[in-house]
Amino acid sequence: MTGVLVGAAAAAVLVAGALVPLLRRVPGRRAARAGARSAHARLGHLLATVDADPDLARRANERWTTAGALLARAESAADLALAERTAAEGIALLARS
Amino acid sequence: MPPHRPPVRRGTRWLVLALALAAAAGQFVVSWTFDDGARRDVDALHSDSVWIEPGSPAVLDAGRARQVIGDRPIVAAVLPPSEDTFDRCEDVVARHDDVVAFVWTAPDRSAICVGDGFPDPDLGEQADRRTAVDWLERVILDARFSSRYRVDEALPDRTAQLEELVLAFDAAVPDAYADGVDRRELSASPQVGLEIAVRLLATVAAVVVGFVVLRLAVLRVAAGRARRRSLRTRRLEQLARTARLADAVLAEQPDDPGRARARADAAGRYVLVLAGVEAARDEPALDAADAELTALERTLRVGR
Repeated sequence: MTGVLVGAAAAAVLVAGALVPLLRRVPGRRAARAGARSAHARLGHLLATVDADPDLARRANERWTTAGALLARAESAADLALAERTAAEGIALLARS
Repeated sequence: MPPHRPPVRRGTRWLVLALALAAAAGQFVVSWTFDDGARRDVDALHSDSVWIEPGSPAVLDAGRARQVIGDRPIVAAVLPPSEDTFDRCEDVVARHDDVVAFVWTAPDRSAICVGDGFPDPDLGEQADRRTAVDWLERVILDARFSSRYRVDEALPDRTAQLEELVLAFDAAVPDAYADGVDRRELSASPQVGLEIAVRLLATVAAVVVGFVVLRLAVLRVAAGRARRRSLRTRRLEQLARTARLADAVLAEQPDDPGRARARADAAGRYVLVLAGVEAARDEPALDAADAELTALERTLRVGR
């Protein structure tokens, strides 16, 4: 009985050790989400407050909408970085006006 | 974006293969070298002069047998039932070649034999031509003769037979060996130690192989997940580009018929590109959609 328990414990340790790569969470995802949300919110604020060129404002508005859609669908840090980059493009457009 | 590949190197594969082969070879060596029940019986005689297989029909008083044998180069073994008792006896002396073995496979089936390492007689008539086997035949005859007066054939206990063999042995040694025969020194079975070592190594190798195989499988799964995530990010990126293209296509309302026609053509291409992006699920499809997107971005002069 003891041998079975020891064997089962050893097998559990073996399997847990092998499963580490699947269980490990990617670091920085929470920070990436916060960064993307922050950029999206900042772009929204600028759209509401800055009196920009209509063409640039329209394009920045598209970037804001797209960034929001990307944020909603993001599952990985790379997805979140893409959303933040998209919002940053909108901010850059407004900065040109 | 570079494609993700499973993090399995060729060296790792060779290592896994080598360990798997080592584990298999270890188990094979164990089963080949230490086969059958006779192995356990024979190995036990390294550290004892008596072995009695549990449940055997023949009976031997182990304590009395050890006492009678003492340090003499004699072993007594009660083995599982067998039709070839003498072959079983040969099995015993094949591993213990410096002893006389008395083997039973049933109360009425016994054999006495001697190993090749047992010294030949060096005294008496024709001593230079007598072998240990010749000498043992005389011992067996004497033992059987005297056993008739003590052994009850109806009973399974054969301890008296062994006692008579030992008496005959003691009587025959002084006539054949000038210096007697050497005492038998008991030792731990080298086979048992080797078996433990081989089994331990095989077990460790099997555990390592199991871990590495499991780990590689998990890494492959993780790599697959990473590849799917990468494809998904790439699709999202392309969808973001199509959104910018849609904005560009819808924004301009040209009055010039030529520009309006060009814009209508661009709108038609946009619909096709969007369909391609939404349908893309693998690398080649995404590559094709990427090329279409880039071409349309150049046409509409939309920067990335």
